[in-house]
Amino acid sequence: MNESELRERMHEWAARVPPPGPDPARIAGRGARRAARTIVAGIAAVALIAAGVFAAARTIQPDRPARLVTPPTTTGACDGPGLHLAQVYGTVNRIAGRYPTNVRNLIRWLYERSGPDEPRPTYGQWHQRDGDDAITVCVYEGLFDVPKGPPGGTPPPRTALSIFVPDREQPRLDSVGPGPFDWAYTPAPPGCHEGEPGCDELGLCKWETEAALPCGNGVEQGRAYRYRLWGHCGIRQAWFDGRLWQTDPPVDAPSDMVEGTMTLIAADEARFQVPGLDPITFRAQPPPTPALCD
Amino acid sequence: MVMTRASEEGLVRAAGGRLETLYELHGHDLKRLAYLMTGNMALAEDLTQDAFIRAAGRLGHLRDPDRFPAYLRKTLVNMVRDHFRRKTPTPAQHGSGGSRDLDAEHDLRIALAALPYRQRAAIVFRYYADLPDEETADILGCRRATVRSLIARGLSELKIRMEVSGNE
Repeated sequence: MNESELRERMHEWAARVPPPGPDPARIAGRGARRAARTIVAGIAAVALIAAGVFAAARTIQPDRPARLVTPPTTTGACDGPGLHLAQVYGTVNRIAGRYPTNVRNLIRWLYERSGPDEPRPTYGQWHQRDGDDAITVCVYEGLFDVPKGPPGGTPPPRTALSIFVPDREQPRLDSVGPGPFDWAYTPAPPGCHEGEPGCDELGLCKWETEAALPCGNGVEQGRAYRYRLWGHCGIRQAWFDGRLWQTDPPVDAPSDMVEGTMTLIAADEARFQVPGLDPITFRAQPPPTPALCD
Repeated sequence: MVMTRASEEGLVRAAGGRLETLYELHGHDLKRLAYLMTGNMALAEDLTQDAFIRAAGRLGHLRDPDRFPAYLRKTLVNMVRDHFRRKTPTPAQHGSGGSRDLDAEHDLRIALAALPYRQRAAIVFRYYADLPDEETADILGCRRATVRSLIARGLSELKIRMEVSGNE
């Protein structure tokens, strides 16, 4: 696809867009409705605050027990509801991984986890949810029954099982596989986002110490963080955990922008993983020696 | 063509600031832009109307009313950004019917929708709206060099995604 083709395609799509539906009067009405909604919301907010003050006044009375608040299910989700569901399918030996994340990251992970050459889901039940909804991915190892094996053969033993536990909802079975779970495609917390301290407009870590995770200091060892690398001239250096890292020799990059996960393996070792590529090991570099006059 | 210089010239003044006239003049163009940036017709419709309501409310505060179309585009970009901060982009799933050309078009739309919104916006502004990089930079609130960089990265990612989907 070249640039002129892209231009042509865009104009074709745009030509098919029908004019906006409602007439201007409705638009104006919509503005008025919005204003009305704002007023109603304001009144509701005042009422809620009043109700809150009233409830607080009731709560502090010594003879009235405080009402219990149900904790979110993401606390211990893999030990509680997730584990119960996993045990329905077989024997659980251990919880191999717990990943508190959100729906946005989950969708991205579902898209990428099978690797670059496998079918990719483009739409599913999670797309209908708010991307910020909390969800925990739990991975269990053990021996699990398979509801249906392949026709004409003995199904291989299923030793890994993953379950999604949405916040305050029932857990759902994701997949049962032969295992071991492929850690390269585990759901990673968000990486560097434009607008955050230490992140540039392309989502790359700036070489600054005052930066948000995973660019800044404080990365959790063993946890995979989403990470972007600029690979135009090959992958050589990275800024991660508030430090400079280097791989020697440099590694050829499949594209200018390489997106994967970066994991702190040891105090001085980090690993960058991209679906379909061998892991790239980085070594921490000593801080630069200040010049005499600095 | 989307709100070219010629079509912009004097339109706001001719409209006399009346919302319905402005909507007739710019509504369709804005919806086309919104569709290219979101890949979703229903969402494009919503964002167009919301952007209009928001931008028209500020019309009286604009120093240069001729800049209204540019202000509309900026408002739209901000609304697309805000929307995708809350939601994952989901281009409408139109069946491709199995035709090779339609498959390629479908893949391109999916690939475009998967780009970060700034890359997507920069590409749409250059290849559809034919805006100079300077104006795109103004809308996105960045430097011209950044716009060029965004477009280069976006095209590179589009190419990769298209190759991947073409091999599937």
